[in-house]
Amino acid sequence: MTRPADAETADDERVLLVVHKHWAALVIDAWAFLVTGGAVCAILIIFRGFALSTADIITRATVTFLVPLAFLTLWTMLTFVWTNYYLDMFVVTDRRIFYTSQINFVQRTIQAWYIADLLHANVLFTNLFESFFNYGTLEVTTRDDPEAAYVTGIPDPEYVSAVILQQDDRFGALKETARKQHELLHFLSHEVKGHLAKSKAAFAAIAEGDYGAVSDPVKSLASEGFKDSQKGVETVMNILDGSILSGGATVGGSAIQYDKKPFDFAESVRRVFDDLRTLAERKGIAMSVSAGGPYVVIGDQHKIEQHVIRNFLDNAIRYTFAGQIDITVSSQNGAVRLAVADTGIGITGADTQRLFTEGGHGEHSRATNPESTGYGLYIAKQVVEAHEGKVWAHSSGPGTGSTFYAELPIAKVVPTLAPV
Amino acid sequence: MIIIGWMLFGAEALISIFLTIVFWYFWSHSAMPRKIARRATVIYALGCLLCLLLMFVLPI
Repeated sequence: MTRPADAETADDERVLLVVHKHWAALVIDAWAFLVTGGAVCAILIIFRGFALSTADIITRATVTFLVPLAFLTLWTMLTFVWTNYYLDMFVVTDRRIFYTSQINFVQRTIQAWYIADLLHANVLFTNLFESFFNYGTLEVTTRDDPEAAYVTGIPDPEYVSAVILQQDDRFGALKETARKQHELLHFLSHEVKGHLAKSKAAFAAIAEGDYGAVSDPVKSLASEGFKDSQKGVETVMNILDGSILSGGATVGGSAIQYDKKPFDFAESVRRVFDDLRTLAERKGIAMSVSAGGPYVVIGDQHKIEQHVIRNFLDNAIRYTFAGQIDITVSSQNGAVRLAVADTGIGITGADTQRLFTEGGHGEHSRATNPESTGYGLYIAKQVVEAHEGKVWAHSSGPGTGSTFYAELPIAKVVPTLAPV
Repeated sequence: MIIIGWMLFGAEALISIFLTIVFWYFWSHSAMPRKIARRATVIYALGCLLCLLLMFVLPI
């Protein structure tokens, strides 16, 4: 069993085994040709013996030509059988199983199964010959296809099955670990959120004088406490959303669902802009929007507005201390592009790689915004990619501002929009 | 007779060369490692040569 020179696998996929069929499979495929071809050659040689006695040169020449031709044909057919035998390959990687079956020169079938979906990888020895020479049939069944696939002629099939099942165990253990981690995250988040919500209520009650009049410093302290508790709740929700959107967690036992309906993306941008414009004006930042449209997108309007558009604009306002923020919505190549350009603190090249990762922070972001959870842009990326779009950012360096982009496909057939 | 013999030999040689090229092309463009493909081509060509040599052994 060897490693292949050119298996088609992903860059980070490790090839564990490449198995060619047992030589006995070659003998079984070739014996019919050997017997038939040998018989034909024998007949021709015997016939040639009789033909030599005739005076007809043409007959003698024809028979003399046919004998080597028969051997050549037999040799070619055996080579063909060997080619099919050699190119039938069973490949086991750390993620998948491939079976390539060469049918003839121009026909080949490739079957692939994900080990994570594997149900069974059973070994069958169907006759004494197979048991004696230690080769057999591998029976593969997966969760999404209950019909088993049979791969015959596998040498040492018990070892091959053990390698496959070892990977399956690894996947099972990884899934279990991931599930437990997400459960713990959910449990902790809900517990923390619960306590923070109680604190928030208490601070609100004190600030509003529900427990009697309080002095101004106490009122101010209670208001700050309320805002901090509110921020804490939002942070926990962000972390939970990040966990859910990364596909590893569930809400109420089922995976996160997007309520995809057609909506005008430009109108959503204008709405979020109107909500946040006051915030920018308080900081002395000029904010403008050029939206055009309508650009109809089929997606979860609420999630896109909250996690993508609002996140981009909110970040632009937080990380800009002077200058302006320009928001542009345009269409290119069947997609609507949102660009939020600011004159803020900018991003280094290294930080651009971390921006959209889970918990990723830029070099200056913690100093500028200590409350940042590092999940906002990660969640934006998950939401956009769930709608077959993409996000990216560009900056010429620290202090030069930055531009954040989000692109979503425009609906191909413009449906009638529901009233907002 | 000799001319007929050489003509027959030429025809068989052409068939062998053609088949060798076909096999070599197929093997070198398949999943077969280059080293194995080269070796297989050489073995096939030698086999064809043996078949051709039969013509010298079999008198017309």
